[in-house]
Amino acid sequence: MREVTIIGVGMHPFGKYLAKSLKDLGRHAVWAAIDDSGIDPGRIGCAYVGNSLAGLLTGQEGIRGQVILHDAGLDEIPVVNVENACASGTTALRGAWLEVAAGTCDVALALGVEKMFVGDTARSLAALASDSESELARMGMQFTATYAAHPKYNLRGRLTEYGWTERDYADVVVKNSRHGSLNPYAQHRRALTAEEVLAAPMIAEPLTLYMCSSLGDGAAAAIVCAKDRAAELSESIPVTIAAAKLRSGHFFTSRDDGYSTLRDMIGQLYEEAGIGPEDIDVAEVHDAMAPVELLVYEQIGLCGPGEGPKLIREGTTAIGGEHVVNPSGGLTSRGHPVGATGLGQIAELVWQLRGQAGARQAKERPRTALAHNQGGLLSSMDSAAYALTLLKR
Amino acid sequence: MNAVPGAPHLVPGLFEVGPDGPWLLGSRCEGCGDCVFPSRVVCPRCKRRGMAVERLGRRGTLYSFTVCHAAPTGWRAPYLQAYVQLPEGLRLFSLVSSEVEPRADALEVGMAVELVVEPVQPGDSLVTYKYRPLEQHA
Repeated sequence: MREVTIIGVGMHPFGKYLAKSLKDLGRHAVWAAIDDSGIDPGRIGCAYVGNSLAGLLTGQEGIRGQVILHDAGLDEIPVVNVENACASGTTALRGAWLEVAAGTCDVALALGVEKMFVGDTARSLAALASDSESELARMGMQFTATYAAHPKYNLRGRLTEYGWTERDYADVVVKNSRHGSLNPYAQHRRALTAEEVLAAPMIAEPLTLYMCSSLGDGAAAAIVCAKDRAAELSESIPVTIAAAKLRSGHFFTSRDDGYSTLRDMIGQLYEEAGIGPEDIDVAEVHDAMAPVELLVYEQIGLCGPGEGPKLIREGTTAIGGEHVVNPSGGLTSRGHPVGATGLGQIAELVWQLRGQAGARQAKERPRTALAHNQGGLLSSMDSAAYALTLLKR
Repeated sequence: MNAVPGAPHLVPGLFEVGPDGPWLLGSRCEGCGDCVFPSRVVCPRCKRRGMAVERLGRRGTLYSFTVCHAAPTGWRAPYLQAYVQLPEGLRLFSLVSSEVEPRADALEVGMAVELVVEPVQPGDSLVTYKYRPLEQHA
């Protein structure tokens, strides 16, 4: 396997763009990444396009990637369409990485794109429900309630188990909304106070509206390149893909008693990369509901069980801290156009590692960055897809 | 308040209502002995094909729950969502009986619950499985 670097990233800001189509969003991100890399677009040897909901929301069920890339002026190259619910974006990146690592081409494109605002919120929410096993959605499983009660998260139960408070949950939003307020690509750009977060309408107890990610439109792209060709083809500061891991959820049987998929996966990633959680300078994690970030801290080894709120209080995970988490604002502030989210995380981390994140630069010269992207829910009681990407300067 | 036998199920194949009341339909592996819900043909642990249908879930304990104040399309809020721990070793998603007020103080984590089959929402013709607090007998 060859070493692979990211030589260009680009985003269409996440938000609500009723006048823009899936093609408009995708074209914008693709050319922003090409311009960022400075590469001759004729060098792109293949493309992986991640999207989750366009079939239901726009009617374009098949050949989404080719439709978007033809509009962007990229024809003839092999295009692979990727669907992995909210993890579609980094699953697409992993495909592009594998192509270059295996040597089928020197340069590959990964695009994640989603168009969720179609003028009918009920239709958008029904489409989003299809990212769960359909039997669960038909049984009335509500997405926010899953984070409140599913044994894997159980954010309501943790209030008793860990002695966490609603205020601890609001403080995660305060941190991430402040980060998002500094990010020109973010959908929600107002820094919220804990009082505002707690006073917002209740969605599923104890999670209020401002703790939840919302519908969004957006796109993000990355150009990956064989490390030994990068200097010759691009002048950008290369960022190495040190690991790209993908795993499907566990089927829980009567013999299982814990929820360890992410913990197992990250342990394997750290071991293979010869690093530990202390080496993570900056991370973008999948906080579909902001308080779940506290559990991700435990699972990726930043703290012990129940210690997450301490990291928030001490500023460890805020911009300027030791291990900065979600400097983009995370899913709740930067936004969560599902198929675009993973590559939005990657774009943010590449900017962070290059020192190009402006007012939201996490720390001086970060060297190691982690993206955690996750999607879908199965009747067998685990998420459908987990994707972890480790980037190094 | 079990619904009439023969009413169409919201999601087919998850439960049956016999003369002795409702049962969830899971599967047990005749090789490794593991049990799963919903029912499956292939054992996810030992990969043996041909799991046997297993009736389970008559009673359990409430593992966790929440009150949903925003409902998916076609559902009425507020309503309760729960996860139930079965003595068979499984945890599963369930709605809560419409007899129970959709308020946080109507339930308690760890309480004994029993399986019922009811209309999905009051007045619906489709039925589904739910759990309700086990009646306390003096």
